Amino acid sequence: MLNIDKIRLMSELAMYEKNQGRKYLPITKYYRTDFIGLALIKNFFLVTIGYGLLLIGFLGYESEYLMGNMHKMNLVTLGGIALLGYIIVLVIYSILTYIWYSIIYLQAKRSVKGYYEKLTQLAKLYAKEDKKKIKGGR
Amino acid sequence: MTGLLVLKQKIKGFYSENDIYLLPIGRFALALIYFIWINSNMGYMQRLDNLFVDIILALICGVLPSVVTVFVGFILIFIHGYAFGSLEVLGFLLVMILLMVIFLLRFTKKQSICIAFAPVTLGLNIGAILPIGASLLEDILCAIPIACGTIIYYFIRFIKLNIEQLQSSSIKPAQKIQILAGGIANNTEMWIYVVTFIAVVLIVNIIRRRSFDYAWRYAILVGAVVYAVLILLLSSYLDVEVSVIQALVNTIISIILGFIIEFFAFGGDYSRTERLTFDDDEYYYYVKAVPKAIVNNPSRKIKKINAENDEEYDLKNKLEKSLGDL
Repeated sequence: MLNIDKIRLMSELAMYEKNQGRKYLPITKYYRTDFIGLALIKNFFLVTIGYGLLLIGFLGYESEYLMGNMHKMNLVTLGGIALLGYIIVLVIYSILTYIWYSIIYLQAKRSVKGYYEKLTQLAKLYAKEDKKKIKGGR
Repeated sequence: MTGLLVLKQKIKGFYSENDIYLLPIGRFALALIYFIWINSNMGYMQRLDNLFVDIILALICGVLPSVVTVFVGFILIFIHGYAFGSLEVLGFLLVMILLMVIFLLRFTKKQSICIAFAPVTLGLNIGAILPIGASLLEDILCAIPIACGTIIYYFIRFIKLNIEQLQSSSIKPAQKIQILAGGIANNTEMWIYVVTFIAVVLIVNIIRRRSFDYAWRYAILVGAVVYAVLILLLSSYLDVEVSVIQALVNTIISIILGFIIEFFAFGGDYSRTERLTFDDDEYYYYVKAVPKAIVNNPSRKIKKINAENDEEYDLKNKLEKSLGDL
Protein backbone atom coordinates (compact mmCIF):
# COMPACT_ATOMS: atom_id res chain seq x y z
CA MET A 1 0.00 0.00 0.00
CA LEU A 2 1.12 3.57 -0.70
CA ASN A 3 2.52 5.45 2.29
CA ILE A 4 1.56 9.12 1.82
CA ASP A 5 4.00 10.36 4.51
CA LYS A 6 6.85 8.56 2.81
CA ILE A 7 5.91 9.91 -0.62
CA ARG A 8 5.66 13.46 0.79
CA LEU A 9 9.06 13.20 2.46
CA MET A 10 10.68 11.71 -0.62
CA SER A 11 9.22 14.47 -2.85
CA GLU A 12 10.52 17.16 -0.48
CA LEU A 13 13.96 15.55 -0.41
CA ALA A 14 14.05 15.22 -4.21
CA MET A 15 12.96 18.87 -4.58
CA TYR A 16 15.76 19.99 -2.26
CA GLU A 17 18.34 17.87 -4.07
CA LYS A 18 17.23 19.36 -7.39
CA ASN A 19 17.26 23.01 -6.30
CA GLN A 20 19.24 24.26 -3.27
CA GLY A 21 20.86 20.90 -2.61
CA ARG A 22 22.72 21.00 -5.89
CA LYS A 23 24.61 24.02 -4.56
CA TYR A 24 24.88 23.17 -0.87
CA LEU A 25 25.17 19.37 -0.59
CA PRO A 26 28.64 19.13 -2.23
CA ILE A 27 29.92 21.89 0.10
CA THR A 28 28.94 20.04 3.28
CA LYS A 29 31.00 17.02 2.21
CA TYR A 30 34.10 19.10 3.10
CA TYR A 31 35.34 20.07 6.54
CA ARG A 32 35.15 23.84 7.02
CA THR A 33 38.93 24.24 7.06
CA ASP A 34 39.32 22.14 3.89
CA PHE A 35 36.60 24.08 2.07
CA ILE A 36 38.05 27.49 2.95
CA GLY A 37 41.63 26.26 2.42
CA LEU A 38 40.80 25.12 -1.12
CA ALA A 39 39.13 28.46 -1.84
CA LEU A 40 42.23 30.30 -0.58
CA ILE A 41 44.52 28.21 -2.80
CA LYS A 42 42.27 28.95 -5.80
CA ASN A 43 42.28 32.61 -4.78
CA PHE A 44 46.12 32.64 -4.68
CA PHE A 45 46.38 31.44 -8.28
CA LEU A 46 43.62 33.75 -9.54
CA VAL A 47 45.10 36.82 -7.82
CA THR A 48 48.55 35.95 -9.18
CA ILE A 49 47.16 35.68 -12.73
CA GLY A 50 45.11 38.86 -12.29
CA TYR A 51 48.02 40.85 -10.89
CA GLY A 52 50.25 39.55 -13.69
CA LEU A 53 47.69 40.76 -16.24
CA LEU A 54 47.53 44.15 -14.49
CA LEU A 55 51.32 44.43 -14.62
CA ILE A 56 51.39 43.47 -18.31
CA GLY A 57 48.71 46.08 -19.00
CA PHE A 58 50.64 48.72 -17.10
CA LEU A 59 53.91 47.86 -18.89
CA GLY A 60 52.11 48.02 -22.25
CA TYR A 61 50.57 51.38 -21.36
CA GLU A 62 53.89 52.86 -20.23
CA SER A 63 56.07 50.96 -22.73
CA GLU A 64 57.20 54.06 -24.64
CA TYR A 65 58.28 55.84 -21.45
CA LEU A 66 59.93 52.71 -20.08
CA MET A 67 61.92 52.14 -23.29
CA GLY A 68 63.25 55.68 -23.22
CA ASN A 69 64.03 55.88 -19.52
CA MET A 70 64.88 52.32 -18.54
CA HIS A 71 68.57 53.15 -17.98
CA LYS A 72 67.70 55.88 -15.46
CA MET A 73 65.42 53.71 -13.33
CA ASN A 74 66.21 51.75 -10.23
CA LEU A 75 64.81 48.39 -11.30
CA VAL A 76 65.24 46.82 -7.85
CA THR A 77 63.02 49.52 -6.25
CA LEU A 78 60.46 49.15 -9.04
CA GLY A 79 60.43 45.37 -8.56
CA GLY A 80 60.04 45.90 -4.80
CA ILE A 81 57.04 48.21 -5.33
CA ALA A 82 55.46 45.68 -7.71
CA LEU A 83 56.00 42.89 -5.17
CA LEU A 84 54.57 45.00 -2.33
CA GLY A 85 51.51 45.78 -4.47
CA TYR A 86 51.10 42.06 -5.16
CA ILE A 87 51.29 41.20 -1.46
CA ILE A 88 48.74 43.92 -0.56
CA VAL A 89 46.28 42.73 -3.26
CA LEU A 90 46.79 39.10 -2.25
CA VAL A 91 46.17 39.84 1.45
CA ILE A 92 43.01 41.91 0.71
CA TYR A 93 41.59 39.22 -1.58
CA SER A 94 42.53 36.41 0.82
CA ILE A 95 40.60 38.17 3.61
CA LEU A 96 37.62 38.72 1.27
CA THR A 97 37.75 35.08 0.13
CA TYR A 98 37.94 33.84 3.74
CA ILE A 99 34.90 35.89 4.78
CA TRP A 100 32.94 35.02 1.62
CA TYR A 101 33.54 31.25 1.78
CA SER A 102 32.91 31.16 5.55
CA ILE A 103 29.47 32.69 4.90
CA ILE A 104 28.77 30.20 2.09
CA TYR A 105 29.80 27.27 4.31
CA LEU A 106 27.58 28.50 7.15
CA GLN A 107 24.63 28.93 4.76
CA ALA A 108 25.21 25.43 3.38
CA LYS A 109 25.32 23.90 6.87
CA ARG A 110 22.07 25.63 7.89
CA SER A 111 20.35 24.71 4.63
CA VAL A 112 21.37 21.05 4.76
CA LYS A 113 20.25 20.61 8.39
CA GLY A 114 16.56 20.36 7.42
CA TYR A 115 17.42 17.94 4.62
CA TYR A 116 19.20 15.54 6.99
CA GLU A 117 16.33 15.76 9.50
CA LYS A 118 13.92 14.66 6.76
CA LEU A 119 16.30 11.88 5.74
CA THR A 120 16.24 10.60 9.35
CA GLN A 121 12.43 10.71 9.34
CA LEU A 122 12.43 8.71 6.11
CA ALA A 123 14.84 6.16 7.56
CA LYS A 124 12.52 5.76 10.56
CA LEU A 125 9.54 5.20 8.26
CA TYR A 126 11.50 2.49 6.42
CA ALA A 127 12.46 0.87 9.72
CA LYS A 128 8.78 0.85 10.77
CA GLU A 129 7.78 -0.78 7.50
CA ASP A 130 10.51 -3.40 7.85
CA LYS A 131 9.29 -4.25 11.35
CA LYS A 132 5.73 -4.66 10.05
CA LYS A 133 6.96 -6.94 7.25
CA ILE A 134 8.88 -9.12 9.70
CA LYS A 135 5.83 -9.36 11.97
CA GLY A 136 3.59 -10.21 9.01
CA GLY A 137 6.09 -12.84 7.86
CA ARG A 138 5.89 -14.65 11.19
CA MET B 1 -7.47 46.80 -7.60
CA THR B 2 -9.29 43.48 -7.15
CA GLY B 3 -9.25 43.00 -10.91
CA LEU B 4 -5.48 43.54 -10.93
CA LEU B 5 -4.99 41.07 -8.08
CA VAL B 6 -7.07 38.49 -9.94
CA LEU B 7 -4.93 39.07 -13.01
CA LYS B 8 -1.79 38.69 -10.87
CA GLN B 9 -3.07 35.38 -9.46
CA LYS B 10 -3.84 34.16 -12.97
CA ILE B 11 -0.41 35.17 -14.29
CA LYS B 12 1.30 33.57 -11.28
CA GLY B 13 -0.76 30.41 -11.76
CA PHE B 14 0.09 30.34 -15.45
CA TYR B 15 3.79 30.87 -14.65
CA SER B 16 3.92 28.14 -12.01
CA GLU B 17 2.24 25.72 -14.43
CA ASN B 18 4.48 26.59 -17.37
CA ASP B 19 7.76 27.77 -15.83
CA ILE B 20 9.55 24.85 -17.45
CA TYR B 21 8.89 26.55 -20.83
CA LEU B 22 8.72 30.22 -19.79
CA LEU B 23 12.16 30.40 -18.14
CA PRO B 24 14.05 29.06 -21.20
CA ILE B 25 11.98 31.39 -23.44
CA GLY B 26 12.97 34.37 -21.23
CA ARG B 27 16.63 33.34 -21.25
CA PHE B 28 16.47 32.85 -25.03
CA ALA B 29 14.95 36.33 -25.57
CA LEU B 30 17.55 38.04 -23.37
CA ALA B 31 20.45 36.16 -24.98
CA LEU B 32 19.14 36.95 -28.46
CA ILE B 33 18.89 40.70 -27.78
CA TYR B 34 22.32 40.70 -26.10
CA PHE B 35 24.01 38.87 -29.00
CA ILE B 36 22.27 41.07 -31.59
CA TRP B 37 23.53 44.13 -29.68
CA ILE B 38 27.11 42.76 -29.63
CA ASN B 39 27.00 41.95 -33.35
CA SER B 40 25.47 45.27 -34.34
CA ASN B 41 28.07 47.22 -32.34
CA MET B 42 31.11 45.07 -33.09
CA GLY B 43 30.31 42.80 -36.05
CA TYR B 44 33.93 42.72 -37.23
CA MET B 45 33.77 38.97 -37.84
CA GLN B 46 31.25 38.93 -40.68
CA ARG B 47 30.53 35.21 -40.42
CA LEU B 48 29.24 35.74 -36.88
CA ASP B 49 27.29 38.89 -37.70
CA ASN B 50 24.28 36.88 -38.75
CA LEU B 51 20.83 36.63 -37.17
CA PHE B 52 20.79 32.89 -37.76
CA VAL B 53 23.98 32.46 -35.67
CA ASP B 54 22.50 34.68 -32.94
CA ILE B 55 19.33 32.56 -32.83
CA ILE B 56 21.28 29.28 -32.59
CA LEU B 57 23.52 30.65 -29.81
CA ALA B 58 20.49 32.09 -27.98
CA LEU B 59 18.68 28.73 -28.24
CA ILE B 60 21.67 26.99 -26.65
CA CYS B 61 21.81 29.65 -23.90
CA GLY B 62 18.04 29.30 -23.35
CA VAL B 63 18.37 25.73 -22.06
CA LEU B 64 21.56 26.32 -20.05
CA PRO B 65 22.05 28.36 -16.84
CA SER B 66 21.95 32.14 -17.28
CA VAL B 67 25.70 32.52 -16.55
CA VAL B 68 26.36 30.77 -19.88
CA THR B 69 24.75 33.72 -21.73
CA VAL B 70 27.31 36.05 -20.15
CA PHE B 71 30.25 33.83 -21.10
CA VAL B 72 29.01 33.24 -24.65
CA GLY B 73 28.72 37.04 -24.90
CA PHE B 74 32.37 37.36 -23.77
CA ILE B 75 33.46 34.79 -26.38
CA LEU B 76 31.57 36.72 -29.09
CA ILE B 77 33.32 39.94 -27.97
CA PHE B 78 36.74 38.19 -28.12
CA ILE B 79 36.08 36.78 -31.60
CA HIS B 80 35.03 40.20 -32.90
CA GLY B 81 38.08 41.70 -31.16
CA TYR B 82 40.28 39.17 -32.99
CA ALA B 83 38.62 40.00 -36.32
CA PHE B 84 39.09 43.73 -35.66
CA GLY B 85 42.62 43.34 -36.98
CA SER B 86 44.42 44.93 -34.08
CA LEU B 87 46.22 42.76 -31.58
CA GLU B 88 46.09 45.59 -29.04
CA VAL B 89 42.29 45.69 -29.08
CA LEU B 90 42.01 41.91 -28.63
CA GLY B 91 44.64 41.95 -25.87
CA PHE B 92 42.97 44.86 -24.09
CA LEU B 93 39.55 43.19 -24.26
CA LEU B 94 41.00 39.92 -22.96
CA VAL B 95 42.84 41.60 -20.08
CA MET B 96 39.83 43.79 -19.17
CA ILE B 97 37.32 40.93 -19.10
CA LEU B 98 39.70 38.51 -17.35
CA LEU B 99 40.40 41.13 -14.67
CA MET B 100 36.65 41.62 -14.20
CA VAL B 101 36.14 37.86 -13.84
CA ILE B 102 39.11 37.33 -11.51
CA PHE B 103 38.70 40.32 -9.22
CA LEU B 104 34.96 40.99 -9.27
CA LEU B 105 32.64 38.54 -11.00
CA ARG B 106 33.81 35.43 -9.17
CA PHE B 107 31.94 36.65 -6.09
CA THR B 108 28.69 37.03 -8.02
CA LYS B 109 27.31 33.96 -9.68
CA LYS B 110 23.59 34.18 -10.34
CA GLN B 111 23.71 38.01 -10.37
CA SER B 112 26.18 37.91 -13.30
CA ILE B 113 23.26 37.96 -15.72
CA CYS B 114 23.02 41.73 -15.02
CA ILE B 115 26.00 42.05 -17.41
CA ALA B 116 23.73 40.98 -20.27
CA PHE B 117 20.95 43.27 -19.06
CA ALA B 118 23.24 46.33 -18.93
CA PRO B 119 23.71 46.87 -22.70
CA VAL B 120 20.07 45.96 -23.35
CA THR B 121 18.65 48.56 -20.92
CA LEU B 122 21.27 51.22 -21.68
CA GLY B 123 20.75 50.70 -25.41
CA LEU B 124 16.99 51.15 -24.97
CA ASN B 125 17.57 54.32 -22.86
CA ILE B 126 15.92 52.80 -19.78
CA GLY B 127 19.14 52.36 -17.81
CA ALA B 128 17.59 53.36 -14.48
CA ILE B 129 15.45 50.22 -14.34
CA LEU B 130 18.60 48.07 -14.21
CA PRO B 131 19.84 49.07 -10.71
CA ILE B 132 16.27 49.53 -9.40
CA GLY B 133 14.91 46.24 -10.74
CA ALA B 134 18.03 44.23 -9.89
CA SER B 135 18.21 45.49 -6.31
CA LEU B 136 14.49 44.77 -5.81
CA LEU B 137 14.94 41.16 -6.90
CA GLU B 138 18.53 40.45 -5.87
CA ASP B 139 20.95 41.40 -3.12
CA ILE B 140 23.47 44.23 -2.98
CA LEU B 141 26.09 42.23 -4.90
CA CYS B 142 24.25 42.88 -8.17
CA ALA B 143 26.03 46.27 -8.19
CA ILE B 144 29.23 44.49 -9.35
CA PRO B 145 27.90 42.93 -12.59
CA ILE B 146 25.88 46.09 -13.30
CA ALA B 147 29.07 48.19 -13.09
CA CYS B 148 30.99 45.66 -15.24
CA GLY B 149 28.17 45.54 -17.82
CA THR B 150 28.11 49.34 -18.02
CA ILE B 151 31.89 49.46 -18.56
CA ILE B 152 31.63 46.82 -21.33
CA TYR B 153 28.75 48.75 -22.96
CA TYR B 154 30.70 52.03 -23.09
CA PHE B 155 33.98 50.39 -24.06
CA ILE B 156 32.44 48.60 -27.06
CA ARG B 157 30.86 51.89 -28.14
CA PHE B 158 34.24 53.59 -27.70
CA ILE B 159 35.92 51.04 -30.02
CA LYS B 160 33.18 51.59 -32.60
CA LEU B 161 33.62 55.38 -32.48
CA ASN B 162 37.44 55.20 -32.73
CA ILE B 163 37.68 52.45 -35.31
CA GLU B 164 39.81 54.50 -37.74
CA GLN B 165 42.44 55.39 -35.15
CA LEU B 166 42.61 51.87 -33.76
CA GLN B 167 42.90 50.18 -37.15
CA SER B 168 45.44 52.67 -38.48
CA SER B 169 48.90 51.20 -39.08
CA SER B 170 50.56 54.60 -38.58
CA ILE B 171 49.77 54.60 -34.84
CA LYS B 172 52.20 52.67 -32.66
CA PRO B 173 50.93 49.72 -30.54
CA ALA B 174 51.82 51.55 -27.29
CA GLN B 175 49.79 54.57 -28.42
CA LYS B 176 46.84 52.33 -29.26
CA ILE B 177 46.97 50.85 -25.76
CA GLN B 178 47.02 54.40 -24.37
CA ILE B 179 43.98 55.30 -26.49
CA LEU B 180 42.15 52.18 -25.26
CA ALA B 181 43.07 52.82 -21.62
CA GLY B 182 41.94 56.41 -22.07
CA GLY B 183 38.63 55.04 -23.41
CA ILE B 184 37.99 53.64 -19.94
CA ALA B 185 39.82 56.03 -17.61
CA ASN B 186 38.72 59.26 -19.33
CA ASN B 187 35.20 58.18 -20.26
CA THR B 188 33.43 60.56 -17.85
CA GLU B 189 29.92 59.64 -19.03
CA MET B 190 30.63 55.97 -18.29
CA TRP B 191 31.92 56.71 -14.78
CA ILE B 192 28.88 58.92 -14.08
CA TYR B 193 26.61 55.98 -14.91
CA VAL B 194 28.75 53.47 -12.99
CA VAL B 195 28.77 55.64 -9.82
CA THR B 196 25.04 56.42 -10.16
CA PHE B 197 24.10 52.77 -10.67
CA ILE B 198 26.12 51.65 -7.64
CA ALA B 199 24.57 54.41 -5.50
CA VAL B 200 21.04 53.48 -6.65
CA VAL B 201 21.62 49.77 -5.95
CA LEU B 202 22.84 50.53 -2.42
CA ILE B 203 19.99 52.94 -1.63
CA VAL B 204 17.20 50.78 -3.08
CA ASN B 205 18.54 47.69 -1.31
CA ILE B 206 18.86 49.42 2.05
CA ILE B 207 15.34 50.96 1.92
CA ARG B 208 13.67 47.81 0.56
CA ARG B 209 14.87 45.77 3.53
CA ARG B 210 13.44 48.20 6.12
CA SER B 211 10.33 47.14 8.00
CA PHE B 212 8.30 50.35 7.57
CA ASP B 213 5.12 50.32 5.48
CA TYR B 214 5.45 50.52 1.69
CA ALA B 215 9.24 50.13 1.95
CA TRP B 216 9.43 48.67 -1.58
CA ARG B 217 7.55 51.60 -3.11
CA TYR B 218 9.66 54.17 -1.24
CA ALA B 219 12.78 52.29 -2.38
CA ILE B 220 11.69 52.57 -6.03
CA LEU B 221 10.82 56.26 -5.74
CA VAL B 222 13.94 57.24 -3.79
CA GLY B 223 16.11 55.15 -6.14
CA ALA B 224 14.62 56.85 -9.21
CA VAL B 225 15.01 60.33 -7.70
CA VAL B 226 18.62 59.63 -6.69
CA TYR B 227 19.28 58.35 -10.22
CA ALA B 228 17.87 61.49 -11.87
CA VAL B 229 19.56 63.88 -9.43
CA LEU B 230 22.98 62.19 -9.62
CA ILE B 231 22.94 61.95 -13.43
CA LEU B 232 21.95 65.60 -13.85
CA LEU B 233 24.24 66.96 -11.11
CA LEU B 234 27.31 64.94 -12.09
CA SER B 235 26.87 65.60 -15.81
CA SER B 236 26.56 69.35 -15.28
CA TYR B 237 29.50 69.38 -12.82
CA LEU B 238 31.76 67.31 -15.11
CA ASP B 239 30.61 68.99 -18.36
CA VAL B 240 29.08 65.92 -19.95
CA GLU B 241 26.18 66.36 -22.31
CA VAL B 242 23.14 64.47 -21.02
CA SER B 243 19.62 65.11 -22.27
CA VAL B 244 17.52 66.29 -19.30
CA ILE B 245 14.26 65.18 -20.93
CA GLN B 246 15.70 61.77 -21.72
CA ALA B 247 16.93 61.35 -18.13
CA LEU B 248 13.50 62.32 -16.75
CA VAL B 249 11.61 60.05 -19.17
CA ASN B 250 14.03 57.25 -18.29
CA THR B 251 13.31 57.86 -14.58
CA ILE B 252 9.51 57.84 -15.07
CA ILE B 253 9.60 54.64 -17.13
CA SER B 254 11.81 53.05 -14.48
CA ILE B 255 9.37 54.01 -11.71
CA ILE B 256 6.48 52.43 -13.65
CA LEU B 257 8.49 49.26 -14.37
CA GLY B 258 9.67 49.21 -10.75
CA PHE B 259 6.06 49.29 -9.52
CA ILE B 260 5.19 46.44 -11.90
CA ILE B 261 8.08 44.40 -10.45
CA GLU B 262 6.92 45.28 -6.92
CA PHE B 263 3.34 44.24 -7.75
CA PHE B 264 4.44 40.79 -8.91
CA ALA B 265 7.43 40.14 -6.63
CA PHE B 266 6.13 41.56 -3.34
CA GLY B 267 2.48 42.67 -3.17
CA GLY B 268 1.99 43.00 0.60
CA ASP B 269 -1.33 44.30 1.95
CA TYR B 270 -0.27 46.89 4.56
CA SER B 271 -3.88 47.68 5.56
CA ARG B 272 -4.04 44.29 7.32
CA THR B 273 -0.66 44.53 9.04
CA GLU B 274 -0.45 42.87 12.43
CA ARG B 275 2.03 43.73 15.17
CA LEU B 276 2.79 41.16 17.84
CA THR B 277 4.96 41.35 20.94
CA PHE B 278 6.03 38.33 22.94
CA ASP B 279 9.06 37.01 24.73
CA ASP B 280 10.80 33.81 25.72
CA ASP B 281 13.64 33.09 28.15
CA GLU B 282 16.25 34.79 26.00
CA TYR B 283 14.57 37.42 23.78
CA TYR B 284 11.77 39.92 23.35
CA TYR B 285 10.15 39.63 19.95
CA TYR B 286 8.55 42.56 18.11
CA VAL B 287 6.97 40.97 15.06
CA LYS B 288 5.34 42.79 12.19
CA ALA B 289 3.37 40.50 9.89
CA VAL B 290 2.27 41.90 6.52
CA PRO B 291 -0.22 39.59 4.78
CA LYS B 292 0.11 39.01 1.06
CA ALA B 293 -2.58 40.62 -1.06
CA ILE B 294 -4.33 37.56 -2.45
CA VAL B 295 -7.86 37.27 -3.79
CA ASN B 296 -9.69 34.09 -4.57
CA ASN B 297 -9.78 33.36 -8.23
CA PRO B 298 -13.47 33.54 -9.18
CA SER B 299 -14.33 30.25 -10.84
CA ARG B 300 -17.29 30.20 -13.16
CA LYS B 301 -19.42 27.06 -13.40
CA ILE B 302 -21.36 26.64 -16.60
CA LYS B 303 -24.49 24.55 -16.41
CA LYS B 304 -25.82 23.34 -19.72
CA ILE B 305 -29.57 23.09 -20.06
CA ASN B 306 -30.80 21.76 -23.37
CA ALA B 307 -33.71 19.87 -24.92
CA GLU B 308 -31.88 16.52 -24.89
CA ASN B 309 -31.99 16.39 -21.07
CA ASP B 310 -35.74 17.10 -21.13
CA GLU B 311 -36.23 14.27 -23.57
CA GLU B 312 -34.15 11.98 -21.38
CA TYR B 313 -36.27 13.00 -18.40
CA ASP B 314 -39.47 12.28 -20.34
CA LEU B 315 -38.19 8.89 -21.37
CA LYS B 316 -37.28 8.11 -17.78
CA ASN B 317 -40.76 9.11 -16.57
CA LYS B 318 -42.45 7.07 -19.31
CA LEU B 319 -40.34 4.04 -18.46
CA GLU B 320 -41.13 4.33 -14.77
CA LYS B 321 -44.84 4.72 -15.56
CA SER B 322 -44.94 1.69 -17.81
CA LEU B 323 -43.00 -0.37 -15.25
CA GLY B 324 -45.52 0.74 -12.60
CA ASP B 325 -48.40 -0.32 -14.86
CA LEU B 326 -46.89 -3.76 -15.24
